[in-house]
Amino acid sequence: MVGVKKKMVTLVSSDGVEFVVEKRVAEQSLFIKNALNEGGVEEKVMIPIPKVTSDTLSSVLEYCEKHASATEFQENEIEEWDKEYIEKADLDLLYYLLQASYSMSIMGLMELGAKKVASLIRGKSPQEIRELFNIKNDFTPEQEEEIRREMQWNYE
Amino acid sequence: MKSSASDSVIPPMDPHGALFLVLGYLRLRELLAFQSVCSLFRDAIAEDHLLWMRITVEPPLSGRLTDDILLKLTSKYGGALKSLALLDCRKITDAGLLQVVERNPTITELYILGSTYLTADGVVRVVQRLTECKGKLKRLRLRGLCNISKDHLDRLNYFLGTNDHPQCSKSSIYNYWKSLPFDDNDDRPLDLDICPKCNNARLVFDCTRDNCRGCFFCIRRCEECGCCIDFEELGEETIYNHLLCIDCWLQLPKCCECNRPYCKGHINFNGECSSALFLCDQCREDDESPTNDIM
Repeated sequence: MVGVKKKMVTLVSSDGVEFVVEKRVAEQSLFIKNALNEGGVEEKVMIPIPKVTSDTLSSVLEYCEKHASATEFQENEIEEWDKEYIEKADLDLLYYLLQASYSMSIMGLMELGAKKVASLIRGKSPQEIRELFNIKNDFTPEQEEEIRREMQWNYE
Repeated sequence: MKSSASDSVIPPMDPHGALFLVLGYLRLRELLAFQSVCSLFRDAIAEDHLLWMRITVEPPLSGRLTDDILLKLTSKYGGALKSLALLDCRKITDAGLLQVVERNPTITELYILGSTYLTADGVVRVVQRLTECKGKLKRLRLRGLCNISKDHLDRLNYFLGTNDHPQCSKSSIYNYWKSLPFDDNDDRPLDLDICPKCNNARLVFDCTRDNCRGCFFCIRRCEECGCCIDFEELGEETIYNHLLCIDCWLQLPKCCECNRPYCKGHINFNGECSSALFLCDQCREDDESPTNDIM
């Protein structure tokens, strides 16, 4: 073998798909980093990632891969990459990415997703937000009236 | 962006769990809009006191913010406000702000940027009241407050306890300060200082070239590197009419029509890449608009 053998870990998605990645990539997730430290195990580590499907995990790992080698890039290069990365996610993937980054403790991805959502709703009215995210308006007429009075200044 | 949820025929339902994770990242305007979307959001936002500990009111909300509404917003979580930023809140008065701090003596950061009704006397009273309430105001930013005198500044420094701890030695550099976020990492308690040249209370900048120190009005500075600009050097301007020193001007890529550069802060803003050939926004607009020359 030539060169130093890279330390690999195996991540298992909720639907049972195995992803073999470099340790430094997986460690972008604090959850995995802590799991690896606690275990103190070296070779052939299998880490189950509950509640994260293989589709989502592969997208999350794409992010981790890029950010694990972030030092090789310039700051605005990473920013550009982040922008494109989150731009191509549809709403469902965005939801899954948010939940996955929360459960796996990947703060950078979490923030990226949250800012994307914030940009989607910027300047939108509550009704437009409901339509965007397919949310049911469950207020009673009385509550609606109360909210209207309370929030009037927001939409003048 | 294509929304797969609304494409399908799924009837409207409760919000996706992931959306609750973004609440902490929303600005005030979006947070208020979310509150009016459905009862789950409404309850979650009302109950999460962390969301109401730091309040930033910025345009377009600021113009509509009155004393009453500010008081309501800041009372949402029983007076545990930590940071209040009022950006261009024209309608807020001295009395209104005083009421807010009286109910929220926990405020540690207060940013007042651009205001019409707030006076220097009023702000001094606000800070004095916070001191009397044993508050722990650590950071005060008053950029844009009118008619603030040396006497006001002395009193503010007294209440902030700045006199006991000499101003930190970190220099304050001019470059890009206009596009800097208001909550910069500057650790000085107060952003204003006495300009050694004109003796007024203003934002005072240190030079990156020699030891000169002065306010915006007394010393012209380069937008790019923050050094002072001699009168002989004057005349080099960026596309946004910011001044540049000759060294910075030479280094920056320039518009191929008007030969003026963007300063670095604006390159990022406009997404103009570092390619040597580009057309600035203004020249592009001029090109696109129909000309009447031929007529």
